[in-house]
Amino acid sequence: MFWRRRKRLDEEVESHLAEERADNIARGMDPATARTAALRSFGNVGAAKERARERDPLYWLDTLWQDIRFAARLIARNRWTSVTIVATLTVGIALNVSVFSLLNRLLLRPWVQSEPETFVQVIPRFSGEYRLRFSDGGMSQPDYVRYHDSAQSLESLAAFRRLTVTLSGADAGSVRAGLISCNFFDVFRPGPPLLGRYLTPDECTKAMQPAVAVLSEPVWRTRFDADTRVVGRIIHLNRIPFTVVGVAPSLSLAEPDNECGVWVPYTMLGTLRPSDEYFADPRAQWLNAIGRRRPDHSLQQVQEELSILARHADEEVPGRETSLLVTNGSLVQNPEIRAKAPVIFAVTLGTTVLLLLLACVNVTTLLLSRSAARQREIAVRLSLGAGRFRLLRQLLTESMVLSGVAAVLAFLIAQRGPAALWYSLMSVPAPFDLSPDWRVLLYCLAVAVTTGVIAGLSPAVESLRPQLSESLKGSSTAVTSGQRRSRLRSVLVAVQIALSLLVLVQAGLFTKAQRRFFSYEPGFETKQVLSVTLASVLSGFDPPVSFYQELESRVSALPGVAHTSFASIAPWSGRNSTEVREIDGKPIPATRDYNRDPARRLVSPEYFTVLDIPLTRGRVFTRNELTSNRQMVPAVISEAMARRYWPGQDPVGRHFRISAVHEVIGVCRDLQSVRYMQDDGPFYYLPLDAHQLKPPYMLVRVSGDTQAAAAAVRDILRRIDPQMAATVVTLASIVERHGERMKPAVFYGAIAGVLALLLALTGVYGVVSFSVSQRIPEIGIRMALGAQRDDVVSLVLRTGIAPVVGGLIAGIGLALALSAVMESVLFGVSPRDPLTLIIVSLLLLVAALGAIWVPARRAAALDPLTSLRYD
Amino acid sequence: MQLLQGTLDMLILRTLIFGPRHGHGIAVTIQRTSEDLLVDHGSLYPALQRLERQGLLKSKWGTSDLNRRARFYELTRAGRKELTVETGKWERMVRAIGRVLQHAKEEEN
Repeated sequence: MFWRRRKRLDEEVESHLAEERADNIARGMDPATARTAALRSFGNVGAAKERARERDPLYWLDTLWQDIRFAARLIARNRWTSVTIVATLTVGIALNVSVFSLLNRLLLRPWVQSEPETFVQVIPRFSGEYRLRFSDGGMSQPDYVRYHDSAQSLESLAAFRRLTVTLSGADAGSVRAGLISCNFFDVFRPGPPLLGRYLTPDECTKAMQPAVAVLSEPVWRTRFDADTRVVGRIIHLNRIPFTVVGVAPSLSLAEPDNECGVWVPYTMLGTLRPSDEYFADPRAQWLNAIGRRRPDHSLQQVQEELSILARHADEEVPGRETSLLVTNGSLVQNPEIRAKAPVIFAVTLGTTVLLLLLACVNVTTLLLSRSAARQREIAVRLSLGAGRFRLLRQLLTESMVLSGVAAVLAFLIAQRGPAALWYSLMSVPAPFDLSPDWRVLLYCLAVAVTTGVIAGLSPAVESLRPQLSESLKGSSTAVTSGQRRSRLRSVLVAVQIALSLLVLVQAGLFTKAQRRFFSYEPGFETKQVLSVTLASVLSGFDPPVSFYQELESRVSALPGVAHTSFASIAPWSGRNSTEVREIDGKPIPATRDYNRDPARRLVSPEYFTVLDIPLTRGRVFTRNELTSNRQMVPAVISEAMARRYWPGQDPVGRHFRISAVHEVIGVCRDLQSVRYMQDDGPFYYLPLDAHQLKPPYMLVRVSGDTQAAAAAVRDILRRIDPQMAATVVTLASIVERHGERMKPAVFYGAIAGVLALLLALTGVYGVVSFSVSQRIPEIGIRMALGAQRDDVVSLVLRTGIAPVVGGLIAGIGLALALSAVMESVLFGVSPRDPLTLIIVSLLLLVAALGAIWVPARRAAALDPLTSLRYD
Repeated sequence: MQLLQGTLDMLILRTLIFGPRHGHGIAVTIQRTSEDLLVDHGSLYPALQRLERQGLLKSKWGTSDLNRRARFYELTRAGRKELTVETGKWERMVRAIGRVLQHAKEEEN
């Protein structure tokens, strides 16, 4: 199109000149001069053509092509600089795009593989006077049925709830069960079942005996050895028989450790948990709802229709006000996650953005030294009448082409990068497809363009500064331009130091938080204590008294076991708060705050010995005080409880009433036994009678090898009751397992820190080396005038270190200003931790000095004679 | 005499009123009929392209008197209309300027 018009113009002008020449000859002109005369009367042929071409709407394409060819020539000429730049940017962009891919997958996209565009999630919120039994974002079963039956804008709506149950068998243990409406798999669409079938609608209406269950692929592989004859077998969930009807492919429904292992009709709730009889209770908001909208209805329309249905539902439940939120099923649209999303993005993507900025600044300094070398060429172009804007575009094209190449490479890396990143962080393969989608592509494009502009703008603008006469005269070290240029470079160094300080501070804080997490003393023994969790008891099974008697006597008889204790709640397993009604017979006002009420834990007398909990006053209960049918149940209270109710007095012998009256017989130290790293607050212990209460936890104090003891305890459990699902771990290993989750962050932070340090150092080194090379004649003069080598070194060091110090100060300021973002992820380490700031600053300062030292030594080693002649 | 700014378009349109001409022909015609107007041949082609893009001209390849392939330009309906409008404007402007100049002369006397 454009090229044709261009050719036509050339031809037209040629024909015009021929006509004019013929006219001139006809007027009697000499044929030799006729053509020249024709050209003269035409004026500047090139300029005319150019003007005509500029009027073409596609002209920019032509010049863009010119610019790209020009840029390509430049890039090819400085091959090694270009390779360095592309490599730096590729790493920066690839890291960014990979992290974004992960966030995109985890937060921005719904957790379904097939047809995510029609997926919806319905999240009800309740207000009003009405008393709810649950309100964790679910809906009641009657409401679900109403929405399911009446919504026209929905193709289908399914409901589910996760529940931990015991899967008995050779290797009894707890699994997560999905209680689902029977159309669940129609909504989730994980593909056909691997074996057998999914649930049928009537299995959610009739009470089937035995009930049916669908296994998940991971459970089928690990617990049933991928047995193809599993369909039709009977399995026991919470000791209730279920017939396996099929095996579903892995759904990776939510976080990998939250995946359901088995699916059963939601009508089985009451059978699985006889104590939870809320199935059809309109007050129990227990079901999560997901669905598929009709393609011709928008999310907005679905939300409007369901809201009308919700209002009808509210009319039948006086005092309740429902507001529905219909989302596309992504986490970021969930209100609870959305509140945290900025912090998640800031801590993860923020770091990679900082790294990319650092890379950009490095590229800027490289381009800047290159543009210094091109000063003369640009001056020639300007004086020949090239437009400044046109030249700016041309210069920017260079950095855009570089960042474009880097972006293409980065996008290729991003095909595999996110999965590799996931693996390096989680040590398991990603449970879902991480290949980039349009959002990732868009992000990559945006990053590439921004990178190109940021990296290229200041060198481009800088090279266009008019120092025509200076540059044309050929003094490459023109003093004036040199100064402005070196000021720009100093700013760039400062920016780099500030940015890398931020990244390093984050890495330092993560490391410190992790150290603090692992070295934390919760106030009791953790390494030599086994925590036995009877999962079957937790999920509602009621073992005979003989089970506890046998367990206690056999475990106590194990070699290396010193003491054992039962407990209603083990450390870090939960909190049971109780309202204190009277102190010493006098009623006290209710706190109205669940979290301020004292927590109760029922324990055997040996609990305090097992855990090494120091007693500050009084005594602990005796075996005789175990029976709970006494008039006055003795209690051991925590110091915090003593301070709350008997400030400044001796609480021993005093009384408090919850439902029964308790006498305080002892006071023990405050612990962090409800949540790790968090004070328990007021706390009291009552004697536990294992024969009456059937506690779900047992604690075992072991001297020596805990692994062997744990294995022995497991063996005893299997012998007493092979169906009993239980876990046996040391308390310390619980801490460790939670700490594992921090390792990715620490690891990632450390990698980012190293990268940032490297980038900043190469940046500082590059800038100082360049400025030394620019100042070679000056250094020569100084040395000729008597400056010593040490003077030269200190000169370079002094000028080099100034922007570094400036950058450190700016970086510390930034780190303090941004500290609020970090607060929530640091486990109590202050984001303004002075020690971290000081160590990081010193590290950067020393490293920067090293990076300046090398070119400084080189400058000092110059021969004054050669450097004077240097140009 | 140099061409007044902005009048080249009108002159081109006017030249084409008697039928299609090629670029060189237009330049020669303007020079000849005006007797002393100098047309910068170089500026003719950008102007022709502009007018064509505005839909006032259309063009096609043809053969010149010298038997040479040349691009011939022709007025479109819109071009004729534009010429009438522009000519009208121009004449009003010339009259107005003439009156002002006349008035100034009389006052001097």
